[in-house]
Amino acid sequence: MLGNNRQALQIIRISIPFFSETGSGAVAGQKYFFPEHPEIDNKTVVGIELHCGGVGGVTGQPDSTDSKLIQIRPSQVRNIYFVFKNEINEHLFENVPALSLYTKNVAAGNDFKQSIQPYFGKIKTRACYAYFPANTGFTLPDSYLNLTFYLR
Amino acid sequence: MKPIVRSYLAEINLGNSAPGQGQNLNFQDYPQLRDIYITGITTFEDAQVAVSPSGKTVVPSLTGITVSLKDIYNMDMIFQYPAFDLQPSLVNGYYRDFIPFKLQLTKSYITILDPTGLLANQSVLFNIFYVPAKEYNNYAKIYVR
Repeated sequence: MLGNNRQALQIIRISIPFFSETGSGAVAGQKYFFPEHPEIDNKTVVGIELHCGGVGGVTGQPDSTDSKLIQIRPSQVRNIYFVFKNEINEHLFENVPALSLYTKNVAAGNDFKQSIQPYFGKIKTRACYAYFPANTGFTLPDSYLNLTFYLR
Repeated sequence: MKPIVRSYLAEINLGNSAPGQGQNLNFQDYPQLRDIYITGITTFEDAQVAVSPSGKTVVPSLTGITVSLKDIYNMDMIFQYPAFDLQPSLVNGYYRDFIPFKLQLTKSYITILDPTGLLANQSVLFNIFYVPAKEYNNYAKIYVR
């Protein structure tokens, strides 16, 4: 079936830095662009998955922890959106809620993975970005957001 | 699940006063969602999405809301389907897909069957999966059953 992650020939994970220049945390309304990645640009995306860090409990259940890099937690991800564009800067997937790409069930003690969303198309990584809306009171310390792209 | 070729997050705001029981609220016009074939749809509660892109609080519960989608011939292709059941997180991440039809978004609407817990200025979010009509022939065979 097209668009299903089972057809992926290659799986690439990227880290998107949510940093400000002052080191005082990410800024609401700011676009945080993806790092350019030719492997993703040159292939067709057949699925996208998000990963979260953290320690569980009120922050939500992580699926990928890192002792060096601070990763975004499930409880923070619910404020974030993605915009994916193609090679001619058309919007392919607009304002995708980040938590909809997180496939781990966040209920503590009830661990299982959900199906990966079968987003399908060719994207241009350096034109894609993540953001969280302004005027919400939500703050985010400098951290990384990890996305896995299923490619073929 | 069929592939998601394009997606757009549509928002229905409940307005300046709390919605009443039986009230219908139409989708507004989004230029991106004109002349499209809709291929699937998902919804979210505030546990999954805290605020909409426009900064509005997302509804805390969808159980009292249904969604009706009309095609370009004003036929109710989906009529009063419970919005709660469109959350992928409830069905192992699967979204509702159907044989594509040409959506008439501005005549599609939600119905408030139970306003309990819904407040003024909250928003209901729908992630609409679609294919632009001009590109549909490129993808039609993917959606043929």
